[in-house]
Amino acid sequence: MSARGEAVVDPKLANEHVFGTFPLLKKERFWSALDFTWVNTALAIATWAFLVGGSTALLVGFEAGIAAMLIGNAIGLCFMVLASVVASQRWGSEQYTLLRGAFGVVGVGIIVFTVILVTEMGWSSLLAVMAGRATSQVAATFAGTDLGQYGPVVTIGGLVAILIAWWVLSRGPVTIGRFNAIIAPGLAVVTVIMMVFLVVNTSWDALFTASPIAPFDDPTLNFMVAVEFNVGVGVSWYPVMGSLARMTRSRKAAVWPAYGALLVATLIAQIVGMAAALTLGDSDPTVWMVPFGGAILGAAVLIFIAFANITSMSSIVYSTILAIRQSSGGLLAKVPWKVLTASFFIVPAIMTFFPQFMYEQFMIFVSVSGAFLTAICGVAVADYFVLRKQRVDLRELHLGQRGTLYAFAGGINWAGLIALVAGAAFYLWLYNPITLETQAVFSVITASLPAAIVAAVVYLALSALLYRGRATEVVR
Amino acid sequence: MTSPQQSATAASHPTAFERALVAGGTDPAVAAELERRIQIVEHDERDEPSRLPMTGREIAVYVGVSVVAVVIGLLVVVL
Repeated sequence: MSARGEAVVDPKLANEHVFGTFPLLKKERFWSALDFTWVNTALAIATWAFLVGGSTALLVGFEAGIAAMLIGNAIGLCFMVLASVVASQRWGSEQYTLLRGAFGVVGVGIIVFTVILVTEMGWSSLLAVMAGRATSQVAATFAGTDLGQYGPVVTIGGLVAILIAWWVLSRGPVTIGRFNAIIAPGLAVVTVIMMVFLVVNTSWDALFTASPIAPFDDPTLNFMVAVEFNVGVGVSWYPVMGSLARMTRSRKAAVWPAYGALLVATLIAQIVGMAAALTLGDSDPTVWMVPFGGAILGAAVLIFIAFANITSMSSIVYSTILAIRQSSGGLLAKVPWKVLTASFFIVPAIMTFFPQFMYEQFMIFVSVSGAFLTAICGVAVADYFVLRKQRVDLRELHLGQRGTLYAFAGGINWAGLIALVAGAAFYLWLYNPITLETQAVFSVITASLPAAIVAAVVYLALSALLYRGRATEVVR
Repeated sequence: MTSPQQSATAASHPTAFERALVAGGTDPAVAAELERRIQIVEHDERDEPSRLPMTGREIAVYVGVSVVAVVIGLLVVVL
């Protein structure tokens, strides 16, 4: 079957449907605004959001933390949605095919097999470890013993989570959507329950007066690093959103649920994580949910959270596999879907043996991947909205190097790749998340938005310089 | 280089687009299905609201909402 309803008899065509080769038609775009809201809510309220909230609490207190999370996510999501959702929704094509104009066929492959693959493997690893930690805590509760935060049960739970995610993935996007429709509302309820337990077991006063856990000396710098970290979180949705948005019925059903649901759901979950970190010293609900909620309720919540991580993992890996398949230049064309998805999980499976590493490097991972993703977003927005004025030629996109519009020497649009590197380098010059060095101006403009703007400007300038007079559409 | 031209011919008479894809290794059935879908997108669904470009007003409202969210965040800090 195609995405929905339309019988596809030829197995070759059915296979290409699964891999997202074909632009989706009106009757196949079946997600309403509500459906897509639940999909995004399920993505947003995974336990990574609690971890983001806890990391924000390292730098700022409760009120400033809410402000930093709101500002950061609003900025990051704003240009992430413009860069990924708008074009994919309109043309029904997955986002990496649409990037061929900006980077070239080979250029897109380079990006997918470096930035996108590493980023999504990182997030998948983190989700698997989080699911493993929830499993370990539930097992410890019923065994009446301490299994440790990073013990072997975490690894076993993580590996089982990966196996289940692989099974869900092998069933295709419709199954993922069905799981999300169940998980998302439940997660919203669970998150509220956790917040109630937090407040009941601590106090509002303790929450509002709590000091940040490990701030720098400069309060302004603390706030801006917190904002920047949350911009990175907003942008981190880029690799998956276009491929999901193509299944929505209309632009309204795509843009606002992508922006609104991710913003609101992320904020709610992050606030719970931050509140826990500020009052209890740990943002991860797998640590405090059983002591506060009791064995039965606590374990039920943790099982639900573990399952939610699995659906999140399925969603992000689905989009990543589409990108890998489309960007492989035919190399992976004959590899079955189940084998491809299983191959993706090899690195996350290995990383479950190093759960502590994943948690400790979380902020660096988000910020460094954000440096590259913001630059990609900047180039994508400049290409689609400014250079091509929202006009793309689907035939030319699929022809790639055999066509005219999106064919470049060696398959690389150097304007796009140089702009990407320039944007990411500018980000890392403004704010180095590894050494924590910042330029003075960072405290005013942060890093992501300026990096995206630099990437966009460099892209447009180089396009004018390198490809002067080049057509942006074919006259038929 | 000349771009392949679109035509409304059936799959039994592959278009230049299909021929170019097949020459590049794409299965003929896949190339024909791509052509069929692109024709639907470009013709039958051309005036569908979901296929229209984002208007300047839509972009302005969208960015405006983001700006309002940022201002609210700043007010939380300042006040």
